[in-house]
Amino acid sequence: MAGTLLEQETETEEALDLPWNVIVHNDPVNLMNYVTQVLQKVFGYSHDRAQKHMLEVHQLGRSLVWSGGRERAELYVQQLHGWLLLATLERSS
Amino acid sequence: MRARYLDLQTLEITGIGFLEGSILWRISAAADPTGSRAAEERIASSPTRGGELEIDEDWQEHVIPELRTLFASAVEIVRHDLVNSWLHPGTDAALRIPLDHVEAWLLALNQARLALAARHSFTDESMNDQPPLDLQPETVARIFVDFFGGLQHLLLEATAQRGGGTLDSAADV
Repeated sequence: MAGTLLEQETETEEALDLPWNVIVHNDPVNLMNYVTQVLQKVFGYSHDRAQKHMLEVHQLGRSLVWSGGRERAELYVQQLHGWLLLATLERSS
Repeated sequence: MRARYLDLQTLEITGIGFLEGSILWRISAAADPTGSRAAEERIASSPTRGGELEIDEDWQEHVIPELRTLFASAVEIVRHDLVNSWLHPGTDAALRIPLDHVEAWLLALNQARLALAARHSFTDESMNDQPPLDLQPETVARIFVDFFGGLQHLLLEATAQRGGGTLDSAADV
């Protein structure tokens, strides 16, 4: 029993430690250069890096733009929503 | 329409025709999602789309009110600029936008575009189609979405050029 409990606790701790992904999704309206500039502004990315993510969104429907702790991930999604980008956060699998 | 820097703090949009001017004055109404669930959900979207109920509920309670305040503030700044900085009303109007208001303009224009698109269920396909030659509400909405997008593009180009150090540069739409 003790072994099972220890295993469950370890799994829970690992789940808590898993990074969270910030995803930007495609929408039919946002301009490509608008999305690029928002990504530069929110994450401090270079123009080339922001443009790469923007093109992923445009061509693949979504782009993982940041990964890390939950609190910062939520803050980034809030900032992206503040610019009206379609963004979500999800646990990294 | 054309954008140029009047001075270090002001962007001037010139060549605004009567029809374009009339549409500009509709930004505030177009940005209001009231009465359309699709538009309201697009303007205040969920961060996990139901994947993490606790986060979504917390978001609804704490984040959405802050975002609504931000969006209302952007629309109010646009309304203020239209009332106070609208020159030569008529067939060749001009508008002066303080540079520190440009972000509010971009956001308000985006609200208007997204709310209209959600209200009329525009998709990638329909946004790429040539709108029909009629005055159905969907066609008018599409004209507004395209026009507001053109102005967003003009503002983005003008501010990007300024970032490159060309103060007296201009951009056309």
